[in-house]
Amino acid sequence: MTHTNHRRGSHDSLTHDYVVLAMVDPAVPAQHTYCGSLSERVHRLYQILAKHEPVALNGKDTLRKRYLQYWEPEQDSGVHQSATIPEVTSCTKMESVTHAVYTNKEAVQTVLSALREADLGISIVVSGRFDDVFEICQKSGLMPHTVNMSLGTWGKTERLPPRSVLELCTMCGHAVISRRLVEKMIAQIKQGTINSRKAAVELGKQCTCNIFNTVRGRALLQKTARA
Amino acid sequence: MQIDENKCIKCQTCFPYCPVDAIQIGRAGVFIDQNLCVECAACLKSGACAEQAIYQPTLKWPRILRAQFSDPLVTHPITGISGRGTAEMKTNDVTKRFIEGELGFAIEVGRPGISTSFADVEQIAQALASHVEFEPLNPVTRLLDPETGKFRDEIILNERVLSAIIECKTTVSQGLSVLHRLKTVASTLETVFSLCVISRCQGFDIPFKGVMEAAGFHPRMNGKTNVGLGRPLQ
Repeated sequence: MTHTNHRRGSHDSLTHDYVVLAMVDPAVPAQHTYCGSLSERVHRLYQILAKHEPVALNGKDTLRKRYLQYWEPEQDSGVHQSATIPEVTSCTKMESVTHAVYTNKEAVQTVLSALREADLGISIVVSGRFDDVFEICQKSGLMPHTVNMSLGTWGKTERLPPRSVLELCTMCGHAVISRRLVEKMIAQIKQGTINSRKAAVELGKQCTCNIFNTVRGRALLQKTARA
Repeated sequence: MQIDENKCIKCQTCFPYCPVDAIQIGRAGVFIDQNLCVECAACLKSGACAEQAIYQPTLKWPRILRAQFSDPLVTHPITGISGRGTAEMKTNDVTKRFIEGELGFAIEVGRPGISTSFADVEQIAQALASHVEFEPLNPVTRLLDPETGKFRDEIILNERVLSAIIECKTTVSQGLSVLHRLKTVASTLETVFSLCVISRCQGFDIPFKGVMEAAGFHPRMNGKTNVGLGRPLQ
């Protein structure tokens, strides 16, 4: 499960894209019982993740709760139902993983410092530029434990869509945002039949893991539509 | 996935929601190409069809594999978690799945968005068998003979999935050999794969990164970092 890896983009664009993933391993009972009730620790986790303006955040109560910046209920469709940040932070359950997406490293640093202090025992993985993430670790008093490096895409790469489309599609690691939907959104922005915020949400809500960065997505859509 | 032709009004609104272009229109109307469809259910979940003409019939073996590997909301019966692989390095601080001196590889065949047959997955697994240790909890491994890299049941070879992840590990000293094997097999595939290399850190250093770069394999500037907050720490 490597869904927060392989996000494409330029040096500058990736400066605005960090995914903080939290996981409790099903096979490690000691992590579930570390320092008391897991539900209390999960609740605290959501509060910390929510405090520093994530552009995406998901949690679980009886249902999966998904917050994405710009997503208004009028764009709900199918299984894709929007939630507010308070609705997410009221959750006390966690699916196998939960995520928060941020657009600046200062926010991630503050989140990591708070998580270090809270000592929740939950494993945390940050996806983003290694130089930035290592700097964040240093400033937060943390030591990187293990890395997962992307060596890119191999094989019949001529079958891939153009870079501008891939930068948007690869923000969903399970690849359920199709190139045709990206191309449709770009075309509609050009025609003026949808604005870039709504187009970013239409793409982002297809990613049920909720790791699509709608702020970065909007900027990429605007740039491509202008080109 | 299937389309109920009695409900479909041929508006084609659902077309762009399919990641593999399986929804098509012919003389008889709109249909889903059953060979291309990977059962990810993205079309159904999108709510694009106002007529509720899209539905998922009960899937049987081996077609059920398509949904298990393609739909992120389906909890995989092998791993017990949603998604196509294991926790890999995400919880390495508490599992010690990868210790110092070892490297992990995650070869996600079909990603991003091209999809794959299990025949292509098998080609890669065969190229790596006997040179790596396949991850025992990984869904692809459970279908393989780890000695040969061949799937135990040939019937699955033509099944298509959005992606399937081969997870394995080897020693640092064998790492470049694995990369060269992957480079060779990559040229024989009908699809693509996205490649991950997992390594323990030594302080703020990633020793194998320099080894790869010296050999012409250049990691991207961004990736995943486990920051060591899991407890009890291993």
